[in-house]
Amino acid sequence: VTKLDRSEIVGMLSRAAEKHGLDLRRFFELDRADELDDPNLRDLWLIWGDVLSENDVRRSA
Amino acid sequence: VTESFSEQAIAFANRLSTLATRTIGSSVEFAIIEVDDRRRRIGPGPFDLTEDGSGFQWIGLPRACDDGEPARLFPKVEFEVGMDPEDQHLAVRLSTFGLWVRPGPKRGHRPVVRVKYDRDATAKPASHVHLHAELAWVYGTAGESLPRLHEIHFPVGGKRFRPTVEEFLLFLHRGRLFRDWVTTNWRAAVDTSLGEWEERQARSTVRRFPDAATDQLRSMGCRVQSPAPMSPLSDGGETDDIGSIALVLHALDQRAVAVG
Repeated sequence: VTKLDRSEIVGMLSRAAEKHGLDLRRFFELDRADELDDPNLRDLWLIWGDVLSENDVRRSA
Repeated sequence: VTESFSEQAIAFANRLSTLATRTIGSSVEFAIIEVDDRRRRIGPGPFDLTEDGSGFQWIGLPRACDDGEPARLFPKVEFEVGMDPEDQHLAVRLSTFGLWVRPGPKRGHRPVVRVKYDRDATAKPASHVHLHAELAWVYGTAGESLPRLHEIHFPVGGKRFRPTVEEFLLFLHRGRLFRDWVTTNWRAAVDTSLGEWEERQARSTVRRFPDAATDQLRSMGCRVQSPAPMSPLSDGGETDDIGSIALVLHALDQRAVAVG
């Protein structure tokens, strides 16, 4: 079992979003609206999205 | 004694590793990632955050037609697990698995088919399938003719745990294929019917697997007595018969009274 700090996962989500021209807020909003088109991002959010808190999103803005 | 969350997560990951080794042939170790106490993410290891994607590895699926070139097909298998509401058994909360392709070294992984599960989904079916256009690439590169979509049978569950008519009606609505329901209460009617179906399936599962049901009920503190060795019934209809089975069903009904 590998223990990871939340910040490492938040960093991974940020990098993935950035690669697709999104910030974390937009990433979050698109998922909520079920408008996330890219399957890579959709799968990534499915498995890791709930690690993200409102604070993380706010901090990344 | 129920195993701890960690022990059950490790057992689950080990089963996946064994399955991968015995089917795909790759020596794949599924990694378990802990971010908090309540959940674990499980996928092909070694986990590496510097890798593109989710940190889990892609499992290569070499085909004979690839002529020894690096694999271009990749099954994806990732889970999020937690404990069930009773804090006794491991439960899959989320999963995504499917087939992805990487047509060339300079191109990223692209999905062919994805099967997703979100236990808490409300705006979509908990388990659903996404089809992508790369299906034609897989057939084409293997020298196979492309079947028509309707000729491909995508699995969506076994004889017991299959989509229901109710879920199909919800699909018609969500997919905007049909929305002219006869009454505004249509959704409540569907939910009620779905709940009844789930209960019938639970009973039917008990009839099919009486020993497992008995073990489970006993582990929950129920007193279940079998008058004779129990054997599974066939998967026939909805008949309520045979004393020993009826006892188990009765115990299931009385669960709230018997537990504790």
